[in-house]
Amino acid sequence: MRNCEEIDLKGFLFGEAEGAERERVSAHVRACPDCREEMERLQLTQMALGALREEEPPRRIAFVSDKIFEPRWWQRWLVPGPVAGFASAAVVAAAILAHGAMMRPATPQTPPSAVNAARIEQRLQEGFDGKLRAAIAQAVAEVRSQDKKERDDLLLAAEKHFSEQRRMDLAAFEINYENLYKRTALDRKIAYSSQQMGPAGDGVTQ
Amino acid sequence: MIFREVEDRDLIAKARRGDVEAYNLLVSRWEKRIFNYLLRLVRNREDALDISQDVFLKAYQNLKKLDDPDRFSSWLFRIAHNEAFSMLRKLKPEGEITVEPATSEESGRMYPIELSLAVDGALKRLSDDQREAVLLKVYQGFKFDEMAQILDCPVSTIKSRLYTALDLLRDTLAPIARGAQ
Repeated sequence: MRNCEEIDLKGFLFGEAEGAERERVSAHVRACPDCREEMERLQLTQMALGALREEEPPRRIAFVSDKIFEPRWWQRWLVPGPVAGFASAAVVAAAILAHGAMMRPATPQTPPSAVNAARIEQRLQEGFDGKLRAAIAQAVAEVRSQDKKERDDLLLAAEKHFSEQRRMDLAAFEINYENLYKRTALDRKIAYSSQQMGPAGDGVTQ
Repeated sequence: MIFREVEDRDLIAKARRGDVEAYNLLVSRWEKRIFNYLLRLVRNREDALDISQDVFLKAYQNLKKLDDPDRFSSWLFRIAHNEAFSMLRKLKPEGEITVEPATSEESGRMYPIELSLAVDGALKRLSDDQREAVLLKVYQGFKFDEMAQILDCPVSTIKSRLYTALDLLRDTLAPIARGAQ
């Protein structure tokens, strides 16, 4: 039997012993109560360490190719294939976060040649904000324009209505005035005729 | 596992030719492992996520420097290690060791969630180097020679860190795990 100091129980437990060495350690543990007890404690430790579960990353990491920085067709001809690949690699924008996102922006320490992920994210956000603001402004302008048109139409209709009303009132007034004028003229004629006819005429008019 | 490695190699080849979608697929395969490794190491979710992003960006930019695509995982963890310790060095004075004694409340019968918290607490009491050795061996399943590449130090140093850490963890966790059975 080998000496206990020569037995690498930890290496055995964590997969470093192979083949004949594994057999030797295994035989020693079966035969040696101290090493068996130590192996049991190590196995309990291994089991306890297994209780620690892996966590999901809070955000997914993904990369996007930035077309702005990619080499043009004639640059591809000038640069050999693998180098061209890494030219675009050097300009690949970093981590934009797929789902869940929405926590504080990451600030990766990238070399100057690389496009900073946070900057890309910020740029995308700014672009999105700009488009959103423009869309809102356009929608507001359209609503305002529509409101103004409806208001103008109402005003025009009201003016037309009042104008027509005024015209009709004026016509009615003219008719009434004419009738009144005629009535007054008739009354004057009657009064004049009565005066010409004298007192006897008064009896006629009674 | 072999099939997975072959596929990773294919994705790496495509990403080297500038195929961003292939690289995104590669990222999706590794981001959870890298994030959890960094989370246990730096112990802050936002920092872990920020560093994860940096790791994958640096990996993309330096993919042509990867000599052997089959070593992508250890190469990626090497980048993650460098990024994490770059941040940790800014936060802590050099050589600080944070091994603390276990508290008395971590004994008696425990339930899975309590056991998980106990493990988390026990890992926090290790030094950064010791904790990283445990993370790479126990949670990521790397071999000693791969860990030596990731951490850029001899296998003997790796074993020393890991075994010391396991002794500390055993003293704290074995009684708790026995009580939880």
